[in-house]
Amino acid sequence: MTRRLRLPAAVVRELRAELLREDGQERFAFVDAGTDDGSLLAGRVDPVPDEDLARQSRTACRPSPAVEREHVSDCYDRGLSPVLVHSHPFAENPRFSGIDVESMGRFREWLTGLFPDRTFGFAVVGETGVEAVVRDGDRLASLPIEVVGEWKLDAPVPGSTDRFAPGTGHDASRAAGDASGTTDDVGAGGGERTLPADGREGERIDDRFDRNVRAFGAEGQRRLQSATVGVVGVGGLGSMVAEQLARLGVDELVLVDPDVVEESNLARLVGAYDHHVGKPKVAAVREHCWRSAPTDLTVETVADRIEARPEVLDDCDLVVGCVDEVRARSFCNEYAVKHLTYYVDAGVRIDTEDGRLESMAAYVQTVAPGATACFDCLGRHDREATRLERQSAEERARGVERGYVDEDDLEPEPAVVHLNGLCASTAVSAVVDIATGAKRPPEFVRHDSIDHEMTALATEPSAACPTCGDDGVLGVGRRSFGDARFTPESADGQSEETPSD
Amino acid sequence: MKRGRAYEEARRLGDRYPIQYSESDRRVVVERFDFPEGWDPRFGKLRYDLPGTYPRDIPTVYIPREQSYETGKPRHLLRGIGPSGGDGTWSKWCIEDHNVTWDPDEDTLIKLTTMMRASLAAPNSDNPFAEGQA
Repeated sequence: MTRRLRLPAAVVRELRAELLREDGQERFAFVDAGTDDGSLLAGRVDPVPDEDLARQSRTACRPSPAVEREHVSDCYDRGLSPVLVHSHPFAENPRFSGIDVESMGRFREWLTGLFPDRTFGFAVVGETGVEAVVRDGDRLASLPIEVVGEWKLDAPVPGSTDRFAPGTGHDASRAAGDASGTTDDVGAGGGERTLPADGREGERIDDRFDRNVRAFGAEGQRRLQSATVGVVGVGGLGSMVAEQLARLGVDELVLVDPDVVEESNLARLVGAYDHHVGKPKVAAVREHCWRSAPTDLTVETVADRIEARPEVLDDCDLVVGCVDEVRARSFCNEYAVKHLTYYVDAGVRIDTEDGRLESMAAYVQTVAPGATACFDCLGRHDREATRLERQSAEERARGVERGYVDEDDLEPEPAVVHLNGLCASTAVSAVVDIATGAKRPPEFVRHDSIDHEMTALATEPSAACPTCGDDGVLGVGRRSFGDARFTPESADGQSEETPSD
Repeated sequence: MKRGRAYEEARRLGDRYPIQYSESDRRVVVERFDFPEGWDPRFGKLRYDLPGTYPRDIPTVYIPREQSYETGKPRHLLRGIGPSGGDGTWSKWCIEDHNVTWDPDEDTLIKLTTMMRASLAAPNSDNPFAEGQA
């Protein structure tokens, strides 16, 4: 993926609020960022109070060296990279000044002397625009801005890009590695149309997508086609999501599910037939996607739990969670929050009482980390459910014997194909909205299938959230601190901390 | 949090006990834990396996298989249930039996160790924390 500075909408809002004030003075903040494939993932914002600035005017600002040293060192200790941000309150769409460039060059030399292998960046924030650079060896390289959940901003960041723009996301690296793998190859022998209207004359979109193009435009279709989407859980719900994405023209799918097809799945699992029983669900759904979509659809399958193979999501622009286990949904949510990846959580719930249908609902939540609420912000993590999910069959049986597990809780949940269909289509609608940018995606939707009512809510991230809040893991990427041994205070009163083998 | 929440909590727990922290195995071992009266041996290990959803979920707790209690097998001890991977030197201690209200905002490995002390001190009680407060 093209490297960039990925900024959640809430981070942009906070930088604007903290650094652009009516007095017109320049101000300064540190942004702690994780790293991911060369990109910087902005998480926590730490504004520097005016009294800690060594210099401040309407045209310049700089923290005191002690503040700078302490923050940078602390940031590296936490496995993150500092982005040093200052403001140009006088500029709508700011650019680094000559003084900035000179000052950043000196800082780069100083910091690379102290931390030769570490990454850092600089950014300047104006009324709406942001410009950024990142250390690239012995120079500073321009870093495009991507805003996660930009629809949550009052004023978008001009010139920002996003991962779905053709040629900038994961598809760019694929294209670089395979120069022939472009739309020119699609439908060789005919069935193509040229769509010059948006200035991309010569780039072709297969005729099969003609009705899509009429709905969300050629650019929207191209953006969809450039997307890599992970579908975690390809049971009754996920198989429908995967099929719809394939038919919409998404170029690359990553399907994750550890289960094999059982006879009881055949009533809901799209593309699965009797001969699939006993085979991995991901294999059955892949076969169906290939039948449903153009020949250049790439489908990567992972017949394992997502917790065991999180790296398979690294190339995904967006992840859809269609799992029935709360712990897997929480895991996907946390992955998304750490990597600033879009996550669409989809699920259904049917409750019965004495054989009578009590409630029947589909839920879809869009998680744009640091812009909307995450799964945990809304308190959707069910600890009792995860307790049972973590137990082995033997342990559950002993739990029933000992009276600590209700046997009813171990029965399979009710599930029906039409509720899955409702949910899958809503989830895919959210994916299309995010990828095409054609309209604002739904942030939380509940379809009540008893009363046929739909509730849609806008959401906001919670500062108290253990996952994406102030003490959470927003934008930390994948960090590793290794193993360690800790021992109580030694005779000299010092606690000992040593890496272990 | 300097190095992630579990790491920092393990480090703080290290102020009191020798601790082994394994990031890759998501495991914290409390060495030389002083088991309450009635347990033999009196010093042993506690093992906390951190779920992928930690800190939202409470860790799974194991005690050494050789630990025994004076009045026989306590109700919250599951002999024969060990960590995945077949390490038979551990037995699961069902801290979850106590219907604990684990709060990820407040609760830590330090709190878990305090809970374990109360639970092991009243190993057949369903609510050792309330009894401990009486």
